Amino acid sequence: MKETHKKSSFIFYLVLTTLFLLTFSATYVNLHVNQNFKMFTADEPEPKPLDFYLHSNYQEL
Amino acid sequence: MIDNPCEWGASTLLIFSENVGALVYYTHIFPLVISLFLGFQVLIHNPKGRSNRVLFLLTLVFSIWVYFDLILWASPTPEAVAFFWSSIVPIEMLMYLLATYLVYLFAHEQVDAPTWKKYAFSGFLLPIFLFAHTSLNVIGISPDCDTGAFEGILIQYMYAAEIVIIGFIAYYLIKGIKNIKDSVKRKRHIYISSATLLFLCFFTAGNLTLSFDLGPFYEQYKLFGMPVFAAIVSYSIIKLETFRVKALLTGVLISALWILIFSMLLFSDIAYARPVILITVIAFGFIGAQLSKSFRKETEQREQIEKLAQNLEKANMRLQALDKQKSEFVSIASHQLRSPLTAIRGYASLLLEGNFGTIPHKAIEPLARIDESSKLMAVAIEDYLNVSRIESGNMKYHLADFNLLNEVEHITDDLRADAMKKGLVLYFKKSLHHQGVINADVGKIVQIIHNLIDNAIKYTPNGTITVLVRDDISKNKICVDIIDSGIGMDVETLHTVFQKFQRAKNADSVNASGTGLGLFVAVKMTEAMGGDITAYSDGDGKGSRFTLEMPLAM
Repeated sequence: MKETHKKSSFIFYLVLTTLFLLTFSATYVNLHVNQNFKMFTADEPEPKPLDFYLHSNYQEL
Repeated sequence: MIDNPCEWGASTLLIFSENVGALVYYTHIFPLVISLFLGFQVLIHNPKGRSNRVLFLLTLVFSIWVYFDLILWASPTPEAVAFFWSSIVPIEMLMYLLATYLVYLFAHEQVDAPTWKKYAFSGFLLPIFLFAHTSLNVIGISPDCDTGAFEGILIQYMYAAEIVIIGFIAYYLIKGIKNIKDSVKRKRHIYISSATLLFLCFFTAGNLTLSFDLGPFYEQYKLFGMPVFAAIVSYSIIKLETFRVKALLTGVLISALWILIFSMLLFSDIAYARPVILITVIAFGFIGAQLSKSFRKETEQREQIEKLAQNLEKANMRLQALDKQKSEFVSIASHQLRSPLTAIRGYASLLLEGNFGTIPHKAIEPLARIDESSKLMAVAIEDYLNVSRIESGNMKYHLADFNLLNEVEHITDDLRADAMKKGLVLYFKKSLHHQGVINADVGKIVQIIHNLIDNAIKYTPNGTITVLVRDDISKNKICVDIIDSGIGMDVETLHTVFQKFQRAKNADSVNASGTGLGLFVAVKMTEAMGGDITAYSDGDGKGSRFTLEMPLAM
């Protein structure tokens, strides 16, 4: 029982660590390397999160 | 590369920049140092403890969060801001989950959570894993360098998840208080879980001030939850030995806290933060005083224990010296008794044999009694001398190979006359697959076997005595069993029969004389030669069996 728990716990931590690494890698490539984010200009209005997704230029980003 | 929209230059080590005020460094570096210090102390001193590992990870993840946050303050490049702003989200969520795990462990008395629960709680991370790199996380970067990024809906989700997790922690806190029976464990749980709850409440409250547009000033103080957490954890370590860390180290931790906080007051460029620091100092002063008090108490107790241990050591040494003196006294007294006794025995024997002429008939019986009593006295003196030698470590053993079977046979033959005088039958039997050669002191072995057979004769009013020599090839041992049909022994006597001055309770029933030292001497000498003596009896009146075991010579 204890051995089974150890094994399943190990798999859990392995899965979690992999997902974290994948997330950081994807974020790094998308935002830091490819610079895939919008640069707002000074005269643009500040976006409100919900408005932004419902009405704004989400597709353009 | 996007052009640097900010006026300030590149940062050093990603976090040191002219743009970042002293207050930001104070609110970040101080909790970061405290957090890492606590985490490492707890881990180093008990690296195998599950809760120790979780606490270490929690402090490590918190420190990474703080470091990333400082980068966001100091970094002038938009792509760095976009990356670190997005990356801080999974880190923050992980910090909340680790905090939940820590509280879970304390609420369940360090029993690990089932794996399905771990997966279930990690479910909070799923949207973050999926969308952290997208514009759902960071919408875009502001041209205003003080604002940074515009946060997407994923961050709103994270704040909501944090509130739900705080709810779970509160639930585990209450559950633990209700379920834990042991008062110390319950107190530990209360301290650690409350401190964790407080730490996360500070943090979430700081996050929410941003959402309500209260400005970045208040948000800075959300990190102060960590020093408060560290202080409560330290208090718990001192008072309840939580995480099994020694109190001395916590004393060091508290000193470090004090020095670090107090040094902040010396910086003139953070004058506007001085009231906040002052409050922190007062709070830590109070907690520190409590900690010092309990630390002092513990030190006093330890000193008392050390003093008692020293006294005990002295008493023990004195006892050993007294014991040695006693043994020497017995040895000297016995030697001095032995010489006149030899003369008494010798002359009594010569008189009885008629070497000084004919003895009047009336004098023969008194002379015989003198001879017999002096023999008993000589045996008793020899026993005392042997005990004295054994206890002082002066017993000498002259080891040599000899045939045990022959020796036992001779002793049995010698004692057969004594047995016959009492109307007993003394048998000698052997069952050997081997010659029966052992390496031991022949004189001592003869003395031991003589003593065992003599005892059997003394304590057997009628019936038989069997002396059996057998060997056990598998164990490389030779055994001599002395089996009698005598007065036997109860269980209590069997436990004490080999102790000094112990005689069978029913010994008086057969009018047997003795010092109660014979078996003690026999077993000590046998053990010194690598053997053993065991006793067995079915009970009073049911006979006894004494077995001498010796290793066979190689």
